[in-house]
Amino acid sequence: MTSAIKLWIKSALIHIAFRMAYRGEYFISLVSMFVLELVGPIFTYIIYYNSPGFAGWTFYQVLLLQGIFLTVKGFSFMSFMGIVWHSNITLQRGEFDLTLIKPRNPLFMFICQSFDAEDTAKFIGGLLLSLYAILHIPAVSLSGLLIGIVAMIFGVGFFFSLALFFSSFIFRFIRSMRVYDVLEAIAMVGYYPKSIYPRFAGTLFTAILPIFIVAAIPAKAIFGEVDIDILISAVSVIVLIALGLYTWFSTIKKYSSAGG
Amino acid sequence: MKIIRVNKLRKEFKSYERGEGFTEAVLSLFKRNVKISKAVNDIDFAIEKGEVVGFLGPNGAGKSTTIKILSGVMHPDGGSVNIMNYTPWIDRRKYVANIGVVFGQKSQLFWDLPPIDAFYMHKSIFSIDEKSFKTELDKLTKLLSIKEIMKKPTRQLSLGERMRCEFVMAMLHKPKIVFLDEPTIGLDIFAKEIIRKFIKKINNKEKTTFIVTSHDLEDIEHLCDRIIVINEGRIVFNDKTTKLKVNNKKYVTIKFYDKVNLTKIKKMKNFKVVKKLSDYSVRLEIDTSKMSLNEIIKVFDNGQKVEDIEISNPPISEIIKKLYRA
Ligand SMILES: Nc1ncnc2c1ncn2[C@@H]1O[C@H](COP(=O)(O)OP(=O)(O)OP(=O)(O)O)[C@@H](O)[C@H]1O
Ligand SMILES: [Mg+2]
Repeated sequence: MTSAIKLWIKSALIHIAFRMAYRGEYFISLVSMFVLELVGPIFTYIIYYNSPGFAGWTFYQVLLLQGIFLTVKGFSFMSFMGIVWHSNITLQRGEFDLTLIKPRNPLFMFICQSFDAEDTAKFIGGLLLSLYAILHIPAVSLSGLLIGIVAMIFGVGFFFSLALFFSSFIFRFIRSMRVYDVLEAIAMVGYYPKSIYPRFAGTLFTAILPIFIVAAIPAKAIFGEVDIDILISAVSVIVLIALGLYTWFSTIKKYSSAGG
Repeated sequence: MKIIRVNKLRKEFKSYERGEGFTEAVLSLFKRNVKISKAVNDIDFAIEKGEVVGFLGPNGAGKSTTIKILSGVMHPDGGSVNIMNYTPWIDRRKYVANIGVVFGQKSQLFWDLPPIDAFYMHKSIFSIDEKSFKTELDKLTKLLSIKEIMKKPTRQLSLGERMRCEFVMAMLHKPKIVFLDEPTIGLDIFAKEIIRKFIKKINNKEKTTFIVTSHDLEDIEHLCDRIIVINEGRIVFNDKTTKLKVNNKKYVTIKFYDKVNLTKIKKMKNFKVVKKLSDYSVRLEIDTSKMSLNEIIKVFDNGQKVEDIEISNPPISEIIKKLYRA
């Protein structure tokens, strides 16, 4: 376990060094990522502040929602979503063999190899934004905060299951980066609260594809609104991760016995 | 001690045939013709600890497929493999900690970073302890003279320099067996020389077992104690490298003062013309079981005037070619 953590840190550092090889470019992309991600919340604020979807939300609550969304998404894309991209590259180059000659779990190797140094900006930006918002929301309780954080962890779990399904999909069927666009599109659903969606979609994104656990549910928990949705979504996330892991490993097994 | 035992190993590949053009492409969505190719077709062999064994065979013979199965990255369709009491594709994680692999066509280094970074990454992946890593790295750096090279970004290295670093990656964790799939592909004579010497030295000192595939017969001749020739998924030769040379055939290259009279030579018994080298010289093959070497001169005694005669063993490539055709 410790050796796994060491390896993960080592590879994170390597990826940052990687980007440092083109120092200027990395710096610019970090900054531009940061700025772009901040434009999102501001824009959303202007448009949705008085829209029916956000009825009853205060400015800082909306900001918190966006901050959490950025944090969870940023963390996920930084630490593991790259496996989707990485699967694509690895398979195109026929280099999956190189992963299998390492005495490690191939999924863990993939995660280490696909750390995304750029999304650190999103993650940190999101954290700062969330903190800023929380400081301006009156009466945030400790228990609310804790539930919110747990919900965010489940949000990360949800993205993890997506990463597993998409990576498997690439292994089995296609080598296409269009998959990444689909992923982004799905993620965007979580950028807004349940109330802006029609009922059917609201249920779908709570119970089956629990995207609201990424931002809306934790945000609401933090400012004191906890309901049954959090439980339903959490269970759904656990099921999705289990299914995702099963799919990923059976895909890998099938892939290597078919000979690529 | 046998370190590798392979029994009745089989691997088939399914490929889907598809006609040309758009209509065919659409039709193939519904009905595909499956073509099965037997890449490895019932192979048996065993390898001793400390042996250097060469896999030879024409393109598509099944060498890489065999190496992939032996190194745990591919599941076979049948047969058994026992390497140091592991079944590679089943005990993969434990097993691969004990082997090193170089795929000549693929790189384990990081393109934008210097090889030394990849070495440190390797250290973490294989959980090599600091002390052992330092000694090994030191030793390999000297043997392959990469002290300066390993600090440059990989993308700036020549193929030969990069390949030396790939070898370091394969050796840092002190593997007991090393699989090399075309490790000298694209290298010049000097780079090949460095690699060959390196393999020999490691094999001598540490009794590391090496399995090498190559299309360069010199690699095989210089390096390997034993050759396994694979053709169409089957083993057609498996014996000491020296055995491949020992047969009754000799090459006799004769240079005349006058133009070669080929029709006359062709009529002679026991001789076979291998090649007409020029208007004045010709290479013949004789079977020494039918005609001794001292008789050769006699044969030409009353014929054309001979300027030079050279007797040699047929090159290993000729023998191999025959095996491929068999
Ligand atoms: N992943 C695969 N899918 C389908 N067919 C494959 C696959 N890998 C190899 N083959 C087929 O199996 C046969 C053996 O291939 P292999 O790569 O083992 O040959 P090789 O002896 O290494 O040849 P070379 O000298 O060209 O490297 C070939 O006919 C090849 O087309
Ligand atoms: Mg090959």
